Amino acid sequence: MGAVSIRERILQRLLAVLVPLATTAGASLHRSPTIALQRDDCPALVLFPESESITERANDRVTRELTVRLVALARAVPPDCAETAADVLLTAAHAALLTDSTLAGLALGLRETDIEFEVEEADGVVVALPVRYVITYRTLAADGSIQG
Amino acid sequence: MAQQQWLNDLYAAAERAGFLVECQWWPAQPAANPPETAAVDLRQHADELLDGLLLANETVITFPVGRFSGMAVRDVVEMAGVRYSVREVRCLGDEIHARLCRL
Repeated sequence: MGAVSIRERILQRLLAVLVPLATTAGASLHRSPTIALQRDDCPALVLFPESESITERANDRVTRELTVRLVALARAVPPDCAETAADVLLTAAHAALLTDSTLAGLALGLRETDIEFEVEEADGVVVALPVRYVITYRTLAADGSIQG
Repeated sequence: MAQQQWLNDLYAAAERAGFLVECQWWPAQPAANPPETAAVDLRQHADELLDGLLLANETVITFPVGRFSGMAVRDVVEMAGVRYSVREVRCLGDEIHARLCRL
């Protein structure tokens, strides 16, 4: 197996930051699940890499912006409020991620861009709060596994 | 009235054939409606929601008007040892459809 890209190391770092938080909150943590989560998997944090673009090229280096989507999933049976539970989980995840916005030196910075709200009736009420983050980092133009 | 009787007969036949399940109903206000046990038609199916992110089970019970009179949202029912909360109650003709969520 060849070298791992900075992008993959960033994604793994994001998961590593979220693991203790998920454990404390009693939530499951998933990365790009291909099979639908079950009722017992909630509450959950789900991380998806969405896209990446190159925003700058200078000599033999490129600046990249990686967009990831972090979804906080929670369900509740009324009168309990699933939206509040999802919000608490997402707030804790956000604080954990922003504690070190350079992600152990892998990135130039991490910033939140937008959040959406999805509420569905699903054996109770399930709420999904997807929030997007953009992570800026640099690599060599010819080798994405070497920081620039 | 004839249709109601026909429906009751149909449910009775279904119960004898083993197509129905026993359901215990505990109203949120037992003073107004005492607990009751009756046979209902139970339907469950799974749906993918949130663009395939979550799998959710929908549970619906159907029974003729006259059984579980006064069933309301947030009442509790139990079937096969599993307790459910009533989420929605609809009357369609001579039948009641109640959507449940597992507690």
